[in-house]
Amino acid sequence: MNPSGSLFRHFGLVIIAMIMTLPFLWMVGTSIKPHHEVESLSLLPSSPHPENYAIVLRQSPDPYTGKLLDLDFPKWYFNSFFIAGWVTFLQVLTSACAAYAFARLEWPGRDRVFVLYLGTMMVPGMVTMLPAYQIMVSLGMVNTYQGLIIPSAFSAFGTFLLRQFMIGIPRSFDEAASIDGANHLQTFIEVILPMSRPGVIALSIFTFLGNFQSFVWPLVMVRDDHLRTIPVGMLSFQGLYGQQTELIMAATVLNVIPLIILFVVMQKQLISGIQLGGVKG
Amino acid sequence: MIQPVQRRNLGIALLFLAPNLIGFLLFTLGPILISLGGSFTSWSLKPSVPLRFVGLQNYVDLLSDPNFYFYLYNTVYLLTGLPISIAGSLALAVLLSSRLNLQTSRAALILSLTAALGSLPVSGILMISGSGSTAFLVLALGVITSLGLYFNSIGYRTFYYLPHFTAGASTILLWMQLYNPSFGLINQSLLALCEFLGIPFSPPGWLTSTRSLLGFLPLPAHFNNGGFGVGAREAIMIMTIWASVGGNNMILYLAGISNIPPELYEAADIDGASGWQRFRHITFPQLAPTTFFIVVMGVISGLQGGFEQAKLMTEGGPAGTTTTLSYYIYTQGFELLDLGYGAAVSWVLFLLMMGITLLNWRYGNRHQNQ
Amino acid sequence: MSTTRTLLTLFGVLLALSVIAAVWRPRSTDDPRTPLVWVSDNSPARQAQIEAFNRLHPELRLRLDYGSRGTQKIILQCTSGVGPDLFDYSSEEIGAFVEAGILWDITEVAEGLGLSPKNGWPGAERNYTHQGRQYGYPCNTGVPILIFNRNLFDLLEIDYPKQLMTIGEFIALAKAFGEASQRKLPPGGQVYPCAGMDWKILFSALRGEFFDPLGAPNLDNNPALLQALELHHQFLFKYRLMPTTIEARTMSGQGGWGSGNINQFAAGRFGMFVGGHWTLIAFSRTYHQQIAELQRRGVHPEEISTPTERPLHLGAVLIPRFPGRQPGYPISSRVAGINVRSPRREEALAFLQYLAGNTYSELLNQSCDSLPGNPGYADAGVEAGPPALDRVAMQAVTMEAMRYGYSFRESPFLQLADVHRAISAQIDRMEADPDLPVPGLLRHAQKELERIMRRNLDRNPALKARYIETFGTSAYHSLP
Repeated sequence: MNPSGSLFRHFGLVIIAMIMTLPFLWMVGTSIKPHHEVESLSLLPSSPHPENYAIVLRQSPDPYTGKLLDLDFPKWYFNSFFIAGWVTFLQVLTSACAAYAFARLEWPGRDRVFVLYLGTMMVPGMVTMLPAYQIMVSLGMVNTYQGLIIPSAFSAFGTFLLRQFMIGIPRSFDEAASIDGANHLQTFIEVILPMSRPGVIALSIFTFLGNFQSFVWPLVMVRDDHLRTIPVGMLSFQGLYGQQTELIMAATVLNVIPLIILFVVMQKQLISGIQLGGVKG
Repeated sequence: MIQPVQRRNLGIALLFLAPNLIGFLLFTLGPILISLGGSFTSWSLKPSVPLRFVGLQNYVDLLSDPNFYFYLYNTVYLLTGLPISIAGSLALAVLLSSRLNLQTSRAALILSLTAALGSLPVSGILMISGSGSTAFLVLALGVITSLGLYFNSIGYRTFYYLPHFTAGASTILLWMQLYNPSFGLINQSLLALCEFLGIPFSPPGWLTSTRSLLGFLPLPAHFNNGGFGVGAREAIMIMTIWASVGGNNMILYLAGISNIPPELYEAADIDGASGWQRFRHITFPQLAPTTFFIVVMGVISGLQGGFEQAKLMTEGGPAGTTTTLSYYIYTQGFELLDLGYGAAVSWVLFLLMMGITLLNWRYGNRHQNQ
Repeated sequence: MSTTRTLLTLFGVLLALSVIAAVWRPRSTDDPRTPLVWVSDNSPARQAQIEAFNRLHPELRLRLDYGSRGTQKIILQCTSGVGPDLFDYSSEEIGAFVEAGILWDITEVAEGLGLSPKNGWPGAERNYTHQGRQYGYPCNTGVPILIFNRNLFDLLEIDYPKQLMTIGEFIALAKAFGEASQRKLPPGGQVYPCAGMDWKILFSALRGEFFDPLGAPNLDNNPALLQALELHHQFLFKYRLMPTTIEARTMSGQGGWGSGNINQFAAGRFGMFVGGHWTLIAFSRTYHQQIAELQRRGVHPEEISTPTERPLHLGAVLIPRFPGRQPGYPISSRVAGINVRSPRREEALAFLQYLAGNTYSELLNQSCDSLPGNPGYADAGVEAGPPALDRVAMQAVTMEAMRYGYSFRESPFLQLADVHRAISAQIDRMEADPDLPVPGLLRHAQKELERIMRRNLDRNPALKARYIETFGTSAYHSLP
């Protein structure tokens, strides 16, 4: 256990960590620069201009036009959280129910249907996007919250993940429950679901994160400003005020901070979830 | 033979399955079948185009369209960053699982506090003396070092996973700014570095340039070959590597490494093996299944990728050099309203993925059984 | 905590959020006026134009939506039933919108309302009609003129551009400008002689056409196009008169509405600028900012000795012509069209009438937002403004230029947007690799267009029949 060798390794790791975080540092520094300093090499401005955040949040006017920016950050945040929340809730619920059916119940054709589920996971997302959009048009759900939530509320991946998990739970628990007189629904809710907790939490994090950052589907579905999620909002921000880098960076910082906090808090569950979903030795 | 208990279970199973199954049929399987069928028709959102069965016409058009091969080339080109990303993840994982613990936890605490407290006055002095950015860097360095020394592997892992976790529209916009040819951080730093070293240097155009590292290849003229250099494709590749090298792949490798039985390493120590030999003869072969999985998943997602970067950063790139197949599908379907053609492109992409996955499977399985 | 309780709590939270979501949206149900949504850009002049319309029509409420701009987005939204009532499109895009079937054909109705092209600018009909049918009315119409920065010319001691120069004289002037700027200005203070004198302007000066009279694309056998592209190439690389798109993008820009070139010109990075006089909106903003800055410092504009520290001083002339020819300028318009599926399309007609009216034309001219669609009101409300900006002269030059204006011939088989896209892709290639021979580029573009045309024909049986009738079966089969 060579302490200087360890220190050497630490040194290398720190350098790599600096490289990885450098873009973020630049982002934070630029977000408080006044416009004419954006082009300078320095990370920090010589005259800090934290008013950029006020401008982005519509609390103070844009120095170029004298008007408030035409954005609605709080609404975008709300939309992203709201939609991702519903999608996660629905997806985990339906996937857990379906996983139970695949893992614990015996019924004709079960394994064949499961292989069908797996097969569809291989199909690229773009394939389904166009017809799914047409279906939404005929259902009249374009440009609505439902249109953003419902198609994403089902996932073959979630079903797969939870089924693998549930298979690993010993049958003895089921048997004990049935001896106590529980039917399938009760077994599911009281026994299997709590025991699948790590898998459920991992799936929740993945789903929430994936939906929070999803860009293509909201882009296509959303027309009204008040339905925009953060990625789509940032796209329109870029289109309208793209020349004002410092504002874009301030907005980006506001987007990224909650993700960082979420990550630091959820680190442990997230890592174990990835290891679950990956290859077992 | 269907047992009576199975038949009764069918009812219950359907109850449990119902919500998921409805969604699956409506939003997954249904669209897949519609898309498959639609690729054989003249399906379009334009009212002037009647819906007719056209057989393989879309596919024929597609395969005789030089643009398709160009975009396929772009897609495969971006895939060449995959080995670098995987190798990087492997390297990081190995580095993170090596012995990082300093002799005692008290030593770790002392060192980490020293780093933190030491960086504060240094950055303060720099701040006062006017070089604000260096001060900022030193402060960041101090924070990272102290966290790393104290939390070891978990601390560094957090920093490395951050780019992947925050990847999305926002970080893409961030990188767009970094790549700005005149005032982006990357070109400015490169210029400053080369001035310092006295090397003449013309900054690469990054997102505005049609050049690429494979630009010396004699490709057909239609491929918008801008010549040798560093251009939009490299820009996107570098960004993708940054976002993925510390991500899920690294975690999977860490899990894989922790599963390697320590007796193997002890035997190697007895035989006096060097670090590199340990890696080559023990670590890497033991990680073969993980590598296989990562490569397959990487190829699958890589072939479908490049959409967000194309849409946000380059709108398909200077002269179409960053249009990948997924972006092409999007423009055909949603911008030109030619849904039948877009569906055909999607299915060709699917066949490509299936083919590569099967090849991987056959090769990987054989490799594994050795 | 029991599973059931966790689930119910989460569900409750989401329900509460849903209530918030339902409530937190722009309220409009308590307004008895019929709402009209207009998708346009967010030019500073737009608000006043909307308010004037709403005052004239108290039963309607026009609202601007500029987040949904973009041809594809509008088409997609309209075909999905969530489109706006009115939207702007540029003259090049009309084909795409008509093909997508979302524009209301108002040919018969327009006649009665005085909106017919017969009452409009001659030469501009093709901007808002397609194959003889009318699909909207121009919000504004214009031709490009040559605007120059007097301060820069004074600094470099070069003569101002003359009215109706030939191309040769223009090149000589620009070269002299360029050489003087190399000599007299510090390195890094890049000043290009010109911005915007691209192939399209040159092609128009030659009165070129992309399509032959029968509608077939003709790019590779087109002397005018070849000459225009060769000149463009020379302007970029031989004479270095203007920056390539890449170089233009690396020149830093200022914030806000308007393209980079406009802002660059206002910042004094170009000697001359080819554009419509609607760019005065941006220039006058810069001018007023500069005046305000000088006032703050207590300096009088006349006291400044260095010309480039003075506030903007502009001049305008007609764009150069080719020797021995009449000038030719492309007329373009920003047209307002009505979504054919809108339930309020009859009410939307009132907006089109407003566009042809006096009130709107006055507002347009006051804000210098190009010429109104109705020539009768072309000079309504033109104000002189600061003499340094030479507004009156620009108006006069533009009116003069309109006499030589024309719009490109269309084809039933291809859209102008396709042509522009094909040629732009080749321009990208030209800029990336100056050694590519220009005829080869045009041949590529022609092939691309033929390919697109073939796909259009294959998808539309009626169109295919028409093509074969016009050109014969062998011509169809020779398409790639």
